[in-house]
Amino acid sequence: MKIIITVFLKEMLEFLRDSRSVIITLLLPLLLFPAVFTILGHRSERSYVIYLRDNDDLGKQLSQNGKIIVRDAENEEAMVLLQKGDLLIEGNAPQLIITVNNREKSSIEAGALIEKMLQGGTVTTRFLFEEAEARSYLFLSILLPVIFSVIAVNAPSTAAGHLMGGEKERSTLEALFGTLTSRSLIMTGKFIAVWVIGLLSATAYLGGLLLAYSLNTDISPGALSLLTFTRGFQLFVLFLSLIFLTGAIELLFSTFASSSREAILCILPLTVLFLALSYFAQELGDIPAAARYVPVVNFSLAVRDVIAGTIDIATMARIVVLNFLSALPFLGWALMYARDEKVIYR
Amino acid sequence: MEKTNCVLEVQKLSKSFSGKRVLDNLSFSVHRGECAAIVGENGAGKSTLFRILFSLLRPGCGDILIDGVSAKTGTKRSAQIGLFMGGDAALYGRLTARENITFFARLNGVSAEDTRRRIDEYAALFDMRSYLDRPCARFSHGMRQKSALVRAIIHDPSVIILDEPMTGLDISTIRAVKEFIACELDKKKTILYATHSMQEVISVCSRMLLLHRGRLLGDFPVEGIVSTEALEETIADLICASPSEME
Repeated sequence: MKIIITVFLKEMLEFLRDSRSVIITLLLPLLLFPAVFTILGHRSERSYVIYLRDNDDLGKQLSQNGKIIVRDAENEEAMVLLQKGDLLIEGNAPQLIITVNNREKSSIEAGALIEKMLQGGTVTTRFLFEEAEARSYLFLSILLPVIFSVIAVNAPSTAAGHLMGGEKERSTLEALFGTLTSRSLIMTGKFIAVWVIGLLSATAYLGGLLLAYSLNTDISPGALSLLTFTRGFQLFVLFLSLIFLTGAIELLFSTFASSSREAILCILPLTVLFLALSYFAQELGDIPAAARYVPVVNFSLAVRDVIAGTIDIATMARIVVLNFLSALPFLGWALMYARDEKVIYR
Repeated sequence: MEKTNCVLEVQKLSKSFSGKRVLDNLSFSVHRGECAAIVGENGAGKSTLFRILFSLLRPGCGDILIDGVSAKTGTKRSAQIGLFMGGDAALYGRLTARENITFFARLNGVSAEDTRRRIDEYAALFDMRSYLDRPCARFSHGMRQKSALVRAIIHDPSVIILDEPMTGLDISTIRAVKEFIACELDKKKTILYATHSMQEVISVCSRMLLLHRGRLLGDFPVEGIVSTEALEETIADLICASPSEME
């Protein structure tokens, strides 16, 4: 155990003294979401398509606002119209009914804008979907599982790339593996460092996301209130297990690679794979039962369930155990390859 | 030299890479308190031999005995052997020299107290005190060489392998390395010394092993030889007369 701690501490020390790695792994993730949200915030200065049913006077009034495009609703249903546009207004003053697609941010913004413009009149706002369901769906259930899956791959990648590929690049692996300590212990210490650095980086990503939400409440109103301590803890546990898996895969890649750059290049397709799996898990709707045993798919679905508050302990436990177990073959392979002389002299 | 005082024994050692034989039926032994030069052209198999001795590569055939213990027992030989590859003195650039040495000392099971004491001793010997606590990334070649040398011997091995240890070093450091070798030989340590410099062979070693295309071509004492030209001539003659050259 002493040796594992020694290797772990050495890796952490090296990591923390490498300003480039710290910036890429901790600072950039912290700033990424605030930057993206700021850009999205500027992009929200857009125009809204509003469907009106039999109300020409209101149409003329609204058209004076440069941000509003008015269209005739004809006889189409609200559901169909709100897939094409942002808002449906029916009735006549003083009894106006506004239908909002509360799964779409632009529709909510358009509703708020109209309510502001029609102050004094009686406006009844109707939502297409149930509020709680729509809110979680809107902000968190599609975007976050995909983002989180990518974070789980990226968070440990720099550390994993450097910890074995970097050793080869600097020619220090020969001296390291020549010591009395077994290669398995050295690799275990390195793996724990990859895992911890991955978790720190993921935490920085999440911190950046929270910061972004708190700085840009107009982008995702109510999202912060959804992130309770329980949900945060559940997300952390899911990350803990998935980064255990991604760290193991990436350490294996790094063990095979001859430099840190080669290792990180090998990790890139993994990002694409995770992104695709996570995206399709969200998009496909009915997922076959067997697919729920695929680590990224189950993580992606679990994040959605955590946000919706519908996940149960048994499901969480199953996913966590599955992720930990899935990591073992990769770790075993990395340890086995580390014993081979090719690991140094490929 | 007492023949019974054998520390390192290489028996019919062979090694191939992708079908190409790099070491071919190599046998020799080195004794306690002896400094044996390993001389050979580039590609003669010196580095491969050292890596096998240091347990980094597995022998294809043959065996290595250190203090009578066979390599076939599977134990790592790093406890008894310190390997310093001078041409490639790789260190962790973001760690200080002291941290680098301490890390390797711990992996080799040296106590914290012994590590501190030995670092102080070697820092004094190699005049390293001024940069011992500075990150290695900004070290000159000589500073790196000295730090890597201390790292290789911090666990006080009984056999020290020095692969071109004086390449690129200044005069005072060369003197310090020679002083270190003399000191280790006084302590009855065994040294294998690889170099291309006949001057170094004459000034440091008592015996020379000539490797050529993975085979041992010559094994003779160098004590008493003062002319590098004579030594170079002997080596050239042996290489010309070797079966592989005549083929």
